[in-house]
Amino acid sequence: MTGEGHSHAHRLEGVSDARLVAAVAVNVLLTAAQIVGGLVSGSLSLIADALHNLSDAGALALALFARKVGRRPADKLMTFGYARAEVVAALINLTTLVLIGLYLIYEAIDRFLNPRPIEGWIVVAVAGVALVVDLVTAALVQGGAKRSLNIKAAFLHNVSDALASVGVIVAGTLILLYDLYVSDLVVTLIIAAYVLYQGVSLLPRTIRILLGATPDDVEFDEIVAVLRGVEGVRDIHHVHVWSLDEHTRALEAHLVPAEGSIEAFEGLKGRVRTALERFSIRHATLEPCLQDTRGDESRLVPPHPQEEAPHARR
Amino acid sequence: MPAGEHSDGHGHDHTAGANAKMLSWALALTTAYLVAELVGAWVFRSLALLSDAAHMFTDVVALAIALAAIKVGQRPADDRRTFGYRRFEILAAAFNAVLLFVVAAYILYEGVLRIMEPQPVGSTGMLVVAGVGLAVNLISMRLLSAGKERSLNVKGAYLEVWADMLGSLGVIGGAAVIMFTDWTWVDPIVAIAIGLWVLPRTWTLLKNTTHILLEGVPAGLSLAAVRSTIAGVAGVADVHDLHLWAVSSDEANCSVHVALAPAADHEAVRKAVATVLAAEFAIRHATIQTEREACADAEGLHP
Repeated sequence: MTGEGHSHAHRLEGVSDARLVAAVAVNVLLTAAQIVGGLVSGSLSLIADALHNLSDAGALALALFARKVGRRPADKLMTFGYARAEVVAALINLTTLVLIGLYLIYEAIDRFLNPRPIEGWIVVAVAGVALVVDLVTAALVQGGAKRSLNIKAAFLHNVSDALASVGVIVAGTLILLYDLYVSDLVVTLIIAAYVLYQGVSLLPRTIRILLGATPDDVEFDEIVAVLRGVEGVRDIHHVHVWSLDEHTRALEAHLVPAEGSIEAFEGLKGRVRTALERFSIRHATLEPCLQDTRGDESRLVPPHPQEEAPHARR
Repeated sequence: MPAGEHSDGHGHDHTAGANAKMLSWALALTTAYLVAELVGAWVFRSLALLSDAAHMFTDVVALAIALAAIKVGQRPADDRRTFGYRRFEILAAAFNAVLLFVVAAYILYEGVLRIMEPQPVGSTGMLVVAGVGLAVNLISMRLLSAGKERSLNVKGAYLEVWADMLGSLGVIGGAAVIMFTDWTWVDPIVAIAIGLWVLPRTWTLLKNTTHILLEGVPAGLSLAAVRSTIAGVAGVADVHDLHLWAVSSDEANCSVHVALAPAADHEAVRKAVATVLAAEFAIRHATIQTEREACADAEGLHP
């Protein structure tokens, strides 16, 4: 991000670094308290919940780390800058979220087939405390979740943890009062389904960005149409559009100008860049391509189509 | 209609085809043994067979993912994936690296548990199982050894099989030592040693795949070297906005702005730069923006 865009970027981020650090700290404290409590009371479920919260803290810490890395300016190792780090972090956090969802299902079925008596109301009470903490964390982080895949993925970890605590409270109460062990299975399955749905729904977009795919099918056609419509452009080919990160796109294209001079091309470039701004394309490389000198470039640069040849569209 | 199609992928196709074949053989062999172990575990009620089957299962997963990624990667580029599908292989390699981390962590965890609660060490039957599993892994490693240097994806699957091979070796070696010396603590120590041995290579794989996913400068290429080579082309007055990144482990992309010397012909310079990039650095995909003067519309994104 450029210097003048720095404060702009903070406003865009929606949640400050300080809040994220606080969220991590709160979760770590809760984990410690639950481990101590679990060791003292001999409660396995407390320790299991402590690990859940630790993974929560881990997800938030990863998101924070990625965000910090993402602010680094471009250098000789990363010519486009580091903003993509946040997308990689989102992928990791979403993958672990899906794995946790699957593990919840496995755990629920296992607990149903081998029911263990609950140690007492202490478990419900601790789950209540954990729920409060999770809600506080979620509230701290929520602002950023709207604008950033990275923060949203960490936020989803929080939400799933809060839901798990709700599950312990509801199922625990029903078991302690009515011996209704099936409630544990039902509640956990519902939560697992929700968690899986959330994780899976965000994965395609994340993977798409990392694959270097066009950000959106419809937009690609629009972009091509806009490019063709710029004054002075006779034709375009060899178009690449991809997402550099969640909010920035890049474009490469060969432009066939109506007028052959390089000077005319300068003006053309300016017009093209302006036209592309509304698609969040902040990096564009435009190669002037004069039709008659195509020659035998086919081995060095990917071949240009001879004319508007139909090609596979998926 | 503009096409994102590349027909310069012939060399890549040959390698990918060979890799796919090797992966298929390794996958078939490993799956066959997995099925045999599962059947045996059920018939003989053997926990040892079952636990080795779990290891084989992670191998099957890793090999299957690597193979699937190659198949997907062979699809030609289209409007949705203008760079083609080859980066899918990098995602697969990253996934395998994470899987390997989890496996290594689990091996370490089991090793520590076994120090606290020593397990009875294996019977002859278990040694036979481990021995055959070792042979299966060694064959798979042999099949994949050619591809692993050129493809991060194949490397990911290879490392998974290699880690499993180490595990079998550890079980057999540990059991042999214990048979002669009765030092039962050897078993968990070997397990922990293997867990630690696997981690550095996994970390390297994860770093390499993340670097590509982040669109960093491809390993082996130096931004400075490329810049000075382009600057050396006749007719080039200035080089800026140079970007180098990779689609997958063996394809590099380049985009650059080149300011022309006063009398230079821009078509000639464009072709010359493309030629030198391909000849010196094997960069076959480059977009070269030629201009009269260094453009003032720097986007602030580039070094």
